[in-house]
Amino acid sequence: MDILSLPAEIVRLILQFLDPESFYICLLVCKIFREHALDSTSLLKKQLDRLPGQRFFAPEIVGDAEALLKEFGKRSSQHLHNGAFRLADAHVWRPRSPAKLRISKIVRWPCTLYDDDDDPINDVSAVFDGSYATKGEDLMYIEVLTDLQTVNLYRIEHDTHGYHPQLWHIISAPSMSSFLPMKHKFEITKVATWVDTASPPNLRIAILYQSKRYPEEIKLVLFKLDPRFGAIIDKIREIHNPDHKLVTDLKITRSGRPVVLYRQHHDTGCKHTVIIYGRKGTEDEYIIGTETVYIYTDYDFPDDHEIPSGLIYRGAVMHINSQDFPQLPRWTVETRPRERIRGRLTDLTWQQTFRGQSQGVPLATHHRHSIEDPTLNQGEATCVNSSLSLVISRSKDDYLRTGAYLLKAVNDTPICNPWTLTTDLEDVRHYFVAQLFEPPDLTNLSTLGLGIAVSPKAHRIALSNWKTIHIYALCPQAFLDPDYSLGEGKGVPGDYAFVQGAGWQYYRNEIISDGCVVLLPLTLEHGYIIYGMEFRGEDELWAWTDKGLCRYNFGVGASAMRELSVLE
Amino acid sequence: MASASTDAAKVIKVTTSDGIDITVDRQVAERSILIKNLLEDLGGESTDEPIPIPNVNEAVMKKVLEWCEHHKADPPASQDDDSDSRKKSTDIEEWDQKFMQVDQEMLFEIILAANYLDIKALLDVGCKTVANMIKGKSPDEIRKTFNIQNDFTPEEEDQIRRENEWAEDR
Repeated sequence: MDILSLPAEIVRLILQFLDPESFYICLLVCKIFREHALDSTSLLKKQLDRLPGQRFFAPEIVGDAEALLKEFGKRSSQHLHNGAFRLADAHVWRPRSPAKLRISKIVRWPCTLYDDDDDPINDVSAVFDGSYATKGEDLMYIEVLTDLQTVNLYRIEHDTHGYHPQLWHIISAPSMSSFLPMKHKFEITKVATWVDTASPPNLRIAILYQSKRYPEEIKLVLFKLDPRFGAIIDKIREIHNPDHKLVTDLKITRSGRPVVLYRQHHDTGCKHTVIIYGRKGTEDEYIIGTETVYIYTDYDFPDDHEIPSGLIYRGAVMHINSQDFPQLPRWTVETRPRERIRGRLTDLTWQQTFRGQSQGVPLATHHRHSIEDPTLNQGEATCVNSSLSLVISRSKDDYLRTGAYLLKAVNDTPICNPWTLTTDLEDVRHYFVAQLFEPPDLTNLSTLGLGIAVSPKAHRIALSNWKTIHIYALCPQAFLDPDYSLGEGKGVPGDYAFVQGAGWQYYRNEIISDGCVVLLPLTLEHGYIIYGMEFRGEDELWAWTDKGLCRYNFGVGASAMRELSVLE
Repeated sequence: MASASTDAAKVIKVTTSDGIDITVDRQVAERSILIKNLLEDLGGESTDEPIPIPNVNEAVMKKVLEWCEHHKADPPASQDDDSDSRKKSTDIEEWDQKFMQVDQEMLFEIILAANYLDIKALLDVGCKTVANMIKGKSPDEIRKTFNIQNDFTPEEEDQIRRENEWAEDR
């Protein structure tokens, strides 16, 4: 007697007792389990109902076991009920030489581009030629080697064995000795990338070299990345640093202007400064040469207990994050109406809704156009904007939240002005719609802070602390778009912003706590220290770690493979 | 003092597939809807004739009756026993967990016996036990646990993967 010899009705009963994830895996075991599933639309509907998703099916699907099975497979994969915890592939590429991991990074490129009207260009693949990028999902690993004054650029490329890092270009300081004299002992302190929107758009890389012998001497070298000729020096800028301030972060604005966050140690503590550099002369100097930049704007930080550690360039606005929460704006550099660094309110109250400025990491937006309802704005045609963002807060006060949440911002207006992911508003209404269950321990963060990565379409959020990665699956539109979230179901009349029970139907079988859908994490633990992460697509996460460059694949093709290679 | 006929009504005999007669309290035996209906068909009268159970052998019957003895005071199965909520939980009470710590052969025999004897609660416990043996395992681990051959061709596995791919266009 074995399991496959049991009568069909008993096997189906066993399959009904399985949670969706185990059911999904069971269907991969052998044909008989699939056949039993295909013999029962009732079993398939029950398993589908346990997954997040729309509650209504087209009539042609309801009675079609094949269609229900396919729908089950897709939904399981979408919401990571596909055994990803056990089946995720992990591939590690060990470096040949020690890398400066705090400076190395993975960038997804090209970044969002902007047209002449300052509107984002979404279809970047139409802008770039085929040799550069498709669908904005290409990654590049920028490896900064410790001793060799060298930056290796690896493109993440696909071949028959899947995606892997392929060395693309090497930028070596010794080869630039005419600009970076060896006797000055320049070392790489920061690397930044940006997309030059000139025609054709071009990914660029900036490397900041600081002389070990003369710390006041800093050189910023700007490279174009040419698909045929590699990294070509575009400009070299000299930055004078008489106070020997420590470079904490570097960003380049869309117009190519360097912005540097500095830290300066005093007897009484640290002083932080943001300097936006300008350039003397005209813009016609597309030749290799050096020039001295002058300080365009110099900002000091308001007295604050948190430590600024990074710059976030979003839209045309420069934000600064604290050491604990990279990517979450904690301060904003304001150039108008007066030049200052303004602190942002990041505390989260226990109230279900509150008013305030835009918060956190933007994930998705939604626009309901021109609603005409006598009960809304006295019948005037009104557009409703909403957005979803990831917020994370830590507080010792009982009246403030500690944890990771999805926050929905809502605004209605007679002016049709759809929000983008860079929209930063001063006063909008926020609603807590989801809670990320058990994020990494926010009260015990390493000096690397909480790592945050969001997939290109925001269906995955990865949070890391030291050696642990938590991955959350979500469907942003389930919280934003009632037509999608409810399917043919009815929402609350007049709730055009979809704030009443946002996502509750879609996530009907998940826990709802304090009005929030509770999203459970998939945990990856491998014993490596995570320095940073980036998604390639929705189901592949890349991380650079103390053991090398890691790729985690938790898509449908994953089969718990473990591979080890050398980065070359 | 109870009469002899009343005493007789409190116990019944069942004959297993291997020809063994087992005497059991009627209340215990009536956890089986099959036996209960048979006894009711006899008009509630006591019978000395053993009830044949041709699909269950002595070893399995004794295990089943052990379970029935422990659960003889349980309330009857509720009307909504086909509801999804019943089938979502695989929680098994401690005694039942220990009871089900048997080899796979015996486990499946108990499940088959529970199905034949129409003991829904035991059938559920058996199926939940199997479900718990599946949970938390990879396809390969499930195959090893139940000695199942992977009968998918590589092409079929690719096809399943493609079908499970989700393409997010929202």
